[in-house]
Amino acid sequence: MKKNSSGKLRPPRLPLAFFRWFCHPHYREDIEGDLLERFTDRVTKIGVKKANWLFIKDVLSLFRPGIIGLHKSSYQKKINTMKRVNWITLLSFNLLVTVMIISPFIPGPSNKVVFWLSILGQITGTFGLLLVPIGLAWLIVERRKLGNKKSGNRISSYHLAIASTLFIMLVFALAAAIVPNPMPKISFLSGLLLVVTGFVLALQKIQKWEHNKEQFNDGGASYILAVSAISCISFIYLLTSVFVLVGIGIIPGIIMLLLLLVGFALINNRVKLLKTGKQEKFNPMPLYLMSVPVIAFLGFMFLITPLSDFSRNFAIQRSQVLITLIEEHKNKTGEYPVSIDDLDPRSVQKKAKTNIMGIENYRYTKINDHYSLSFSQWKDLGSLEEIVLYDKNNLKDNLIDEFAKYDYSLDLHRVKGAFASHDTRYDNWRYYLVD
Amino acid sequence: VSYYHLGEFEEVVLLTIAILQGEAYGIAIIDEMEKRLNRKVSIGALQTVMRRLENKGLLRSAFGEATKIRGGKRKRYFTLTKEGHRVLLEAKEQRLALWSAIPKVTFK
Repeated sequence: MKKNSSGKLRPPRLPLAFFRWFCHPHYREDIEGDLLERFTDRVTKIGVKKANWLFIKDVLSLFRPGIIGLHKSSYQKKINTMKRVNWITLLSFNLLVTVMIISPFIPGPSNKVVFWLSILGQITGTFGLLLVPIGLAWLIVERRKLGNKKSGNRISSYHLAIASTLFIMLVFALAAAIVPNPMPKISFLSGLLLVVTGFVLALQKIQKWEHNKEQFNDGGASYILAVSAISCISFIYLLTSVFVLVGIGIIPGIIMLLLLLVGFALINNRVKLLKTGKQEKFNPMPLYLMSVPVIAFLGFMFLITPLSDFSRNFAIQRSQVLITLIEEHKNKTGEYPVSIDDLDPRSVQKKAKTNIMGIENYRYTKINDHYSLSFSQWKDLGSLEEIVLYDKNNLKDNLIDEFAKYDYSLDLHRVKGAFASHDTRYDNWRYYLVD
Repeated sequence: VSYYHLGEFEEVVLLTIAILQGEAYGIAIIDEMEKRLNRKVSIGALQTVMRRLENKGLLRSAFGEATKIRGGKRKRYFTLTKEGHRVLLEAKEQRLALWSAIPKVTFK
């Protein structure tokens, strides 16, 4: 039988400690007194063992909203402050990035913009993962800030910020060293250069503040992390701009670069606020830096394949009407149409469209008494083209006359260079993966 | 003050506190309720209801003495406020009115 130093019976320690932990401080004393009084009374009436069990039961019965009141000083303050985070905005932002990634594979009018939006989303889900360690370090800094811990943490927050930035640099350097191809190597070196430049500038700024004996938060940790995050985001944006520059043209590329400058101007004031902003206010930025790349990565990894299967099947199914029209044309005129435009314009206007946002219209090729139908969709950061081909007469292996000469615009030729090909669940339809 | 609709358990708690007349603290209330109503009362349910009634202004509480058996923790004594009395009386009148409205043949 457990007794305290004065020889009195005492209730089980763990349930009592649990009660003391969860009970509202205003109610703790009198309810604990009631619990102990009841326990002592029960021990004399029904014995220690049963009294112990009933004590546990009593404690559990008190674990309810009206009684619970965890330590307001730190925990409650953090929760209250976290309530200021607009979770709906955070969720919407994550949802937006996911929609950007999957937009080329969902039904809707064909649009080239969705391809670039998807590329931006996919880059966020791959290269953007570099933002996660920065976000994590920043979240720790923010939590420490709310914990009201003073000087000790200020120094460690500063070192935490430096460590996470150095980690990013290391990743860039290792990636640049490992990748064999010159283009990715240059990309990673550019990223490294951006992060190093931002880091050096941030350190210089903090040294200047110290020299001028200016006041600043977290020993400058938030400032360093913000600059590192901006460097990484700029790298992702510049990478997308290069894609646009090469893929669409110089003017859209230049517009994107100008938008980056506008972004810098807008964000500059926000970064300045980190220097002496309100200490008790929780900055939700780390939550964005951590969640958006991870959600984008999950979308990139797990949504693109099933959705590209869906969009392929959807476009193939829609083509059945077009194939019927082509065959009807042959029955009427004795020949396949030279182009899709030769079909009845009223029927073709709607039926010749794939109705998938990232897939342009069907491509039709007539060779003598045969024809092929095809369309393309893009995957893996726009580096992988999937050519879906309807070739019921095996035209691709029997090209004759002027078609025998290699023509890059002709899918019948291009699929020969595919590194992989797969059947679909539809007759005469097959898809080819081209670099 | 708008009328507060008492729940059955709330009404029983208020009545028991009124019965105990200044001696109503957690364990005493539970004992009294269990004795008079012949039913088990959970400490969690009672404490939650008492805090709610106190927040509604139907009860007030004050610390009393600390005893050894309570590990040196003080008792919290509950008493009815003026509003608590009024709400209890209203509940009683409503019930009596309902009882008197029942036709005599019903319980024959």
